[in-house]
Amino acid sequence: MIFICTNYNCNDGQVFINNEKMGSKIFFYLCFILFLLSAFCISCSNANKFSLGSDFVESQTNMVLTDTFRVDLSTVLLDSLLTSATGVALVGNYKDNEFGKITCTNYFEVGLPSYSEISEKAIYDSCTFFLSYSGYSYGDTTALMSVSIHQLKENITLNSNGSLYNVSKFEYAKDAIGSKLFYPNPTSSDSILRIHVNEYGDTLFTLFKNKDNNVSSSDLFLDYIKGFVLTSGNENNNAVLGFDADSSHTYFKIYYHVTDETVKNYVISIKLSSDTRQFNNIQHDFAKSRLAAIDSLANHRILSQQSDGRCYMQAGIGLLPKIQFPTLQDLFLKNRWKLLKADLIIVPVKDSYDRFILPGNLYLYDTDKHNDINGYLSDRSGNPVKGTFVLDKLYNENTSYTFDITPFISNELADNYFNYDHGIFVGVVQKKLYTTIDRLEIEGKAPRVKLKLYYVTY
Amino acid sequence: MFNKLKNNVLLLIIVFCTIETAHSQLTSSPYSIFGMGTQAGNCAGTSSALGGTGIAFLSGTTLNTVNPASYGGLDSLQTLFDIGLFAKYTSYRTKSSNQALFDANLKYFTMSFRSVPRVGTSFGIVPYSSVGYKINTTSNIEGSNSEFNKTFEGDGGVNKVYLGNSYELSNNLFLGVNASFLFGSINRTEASSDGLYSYKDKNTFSNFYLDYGLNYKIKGNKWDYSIGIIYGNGKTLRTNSESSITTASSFEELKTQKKEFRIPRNLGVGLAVSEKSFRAGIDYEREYWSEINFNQSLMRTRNSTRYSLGLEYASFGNSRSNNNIIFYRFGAEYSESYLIIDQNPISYRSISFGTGLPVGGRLNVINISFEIGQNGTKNDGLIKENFYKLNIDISLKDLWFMKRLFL
Repeated sequence: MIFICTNYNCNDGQVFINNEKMGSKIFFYLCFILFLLSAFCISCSNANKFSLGSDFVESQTNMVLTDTFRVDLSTVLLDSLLTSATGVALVGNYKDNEFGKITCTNYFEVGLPSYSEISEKAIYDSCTFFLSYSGYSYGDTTALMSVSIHQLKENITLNSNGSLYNVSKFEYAKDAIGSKLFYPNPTSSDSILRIHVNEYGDTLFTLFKNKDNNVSSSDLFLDYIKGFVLTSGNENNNAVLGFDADSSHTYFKIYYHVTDETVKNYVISIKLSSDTRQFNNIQHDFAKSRLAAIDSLANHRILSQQSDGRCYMQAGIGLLPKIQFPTLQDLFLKNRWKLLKADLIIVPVKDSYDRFILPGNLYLYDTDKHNDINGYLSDRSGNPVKGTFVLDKLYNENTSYTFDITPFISNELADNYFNYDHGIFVGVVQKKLYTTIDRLEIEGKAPRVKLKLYYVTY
Repeated sequence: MFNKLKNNVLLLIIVFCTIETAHSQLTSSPYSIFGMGTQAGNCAGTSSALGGTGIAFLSGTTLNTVNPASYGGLDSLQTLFDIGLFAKYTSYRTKSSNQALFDANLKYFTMSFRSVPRVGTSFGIVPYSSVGYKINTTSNIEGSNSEFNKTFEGDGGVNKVYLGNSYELSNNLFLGVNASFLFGSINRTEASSDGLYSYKDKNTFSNFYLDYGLNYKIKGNKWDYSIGIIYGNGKTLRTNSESSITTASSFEELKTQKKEFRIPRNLGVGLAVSEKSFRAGIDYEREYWSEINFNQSLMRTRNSTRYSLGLEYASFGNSRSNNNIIFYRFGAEYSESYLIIDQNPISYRSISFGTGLPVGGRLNVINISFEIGQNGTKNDGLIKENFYKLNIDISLKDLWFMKRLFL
């Protein structure tokens, strides 16, 4: 045994004979607990808010903002837009110098009503066509408005893929079975518009009363009655109105009475029957507007340079602003950079929203060379990108829509080639694209549409 | 039964401590952004209570890692396990503001014993330097008038796994050599605080390293006198650098310039006097950092110097047995660190008080010390750190070798 005696470490061997197992155990456990505590406290540090030392850091990275990449604007008129089975009827017309004239006509079918046998003594009273305001309107709703109802001359037939479009049309009788001149009340969605069709109602009543062959089955009835169309009764209406187009809101009512000991009143309801064969025909006439040339241009596309720098969006007719980025390829000339964020900023033409409210929600659609709509542009989590809308009510200076299109740009840049043909349409949400004629006029010159790119250099 | 369990658990603790020490963050200091980070100093065993003093002290009931020659003082019968923990409260002051941080962690783990006659052996894992900072700043977005929040973070450090032996060359002359493996990594991240991007830079180091020590003791009638010398030849570490940039949609590994990291030469001399219940020592140590350039524009290096003083008094109480010794320690340190930041030399000073208490018999000791100190300066917008640090060093003893000899 080696015996080393350092300072006060003079072990004499006796020490180890002491039986202190209990104390040893306690100490051992104490150490073990301390050790565990420290293990769970791997780094007890609260450095999150720390800002001292900012003079010590040397940046390896820089964030850069550039908005000098060119943005090409044009306006595209789609060939057609699906407008059937939407439950919305659009009726009326409106005209101004910006978008020309727009005319909306609604087509629908009715079904054979169920009714009890009509007594010989029954006497026809009247017939009324009922419409319910949907709450949607476009244009000047304070002006006197006219709506007419006509009977179709041919049955509504769906095209091969089972739908109907804004450009679909069917022949109808020139003479209206009824029309109404009124001051619209569109803001209250439970209010009802009544059009008296007494003469036509009498004809129908007679059929029912006489158990005519034409009202003996649904098919024969449909062949006989074809359907109806709601038209803008007057060429010079100043508004387009929206109505609910479904069986519980769109119907004729034939009133008659039978006099026995007392007078008994009866009603026959002829309701809108087919949701799928209900559609809106929406026609445009761009004559005298900046878009006049669009119908004759290739792909129905007019460059913003040909339309005073502006571009146009109108739902219902498929008029969509197209945005393309011709110079983004130049980004690849830079070295050591990564895209962080891409914001697209769109400003409406300054005086374009005095009468028309700007759409609160704007969305972007992915499009290509053929101007097909390939779905919404989506954000990182796959949700449609919605513009952040700022309305500057006071000065009209800062009204804008800002879209975060980072995934679109970074996906397009990913293969080191930026495809110019891969563009963006600006529009309202898909449902509104089919059921409204909302509009937007985008400024292209001052201020121009900007692509703000944030990237990091290192 | 209990002994068997205890040994198994001890083994487990050794493994865990080694892993954990290698990963633990020992520093939260903006100064650790520079160079190799904040030097750990002499933090193992009782040296933290003695102001880091220990070049001329021999190991005894606790291990002294300052000088490898000191292992020659280890008791022949015991195996020492030393585990160190710390808790530190630091307030950081500039001329205009004031912030504070709290840290706590495991520091080191060592084991030491006398392997053969005339040879004391120690191995363990101790920190060499550590990096730990998180600095929030704002930075201009080029091409705009706006700013964005940027966060600089750093962690990691260099650790030392060593195996050291001390040979008693002749009576009271000890030569010690530590064979160490230095390893570690320093991770630096620069990121926009909203997570748009992060730029990471990781430097991994490793190399073997030798350092040497001598200790010579002159025995007097009442007082013993010791002199100790330590020397390390410095070493270039094998360095591997990786950088990468990450954004929400991309990740890219970047080519990096080869960086060089070096451990400087060091030379230290210490003197000590001791008698049965008292010892005192002074250290002077120099590290030749001025030869090393870190390519950081705000900093220069200089040769660092450490002066320390340590006093220790042992109270034996009634019994003369080692079981009941209570130690009282005092230390002071003044170090001129290797950093010159923006023309301001950064220096460190501290005083410490400590006690070593016998716990649970069998020579187990818990050493508790309290250290108050400061680092840095408030000049030129720099930061002065005032810290209060509690060190707990547990010295566990087992009688592995005794059993073999007695049974």
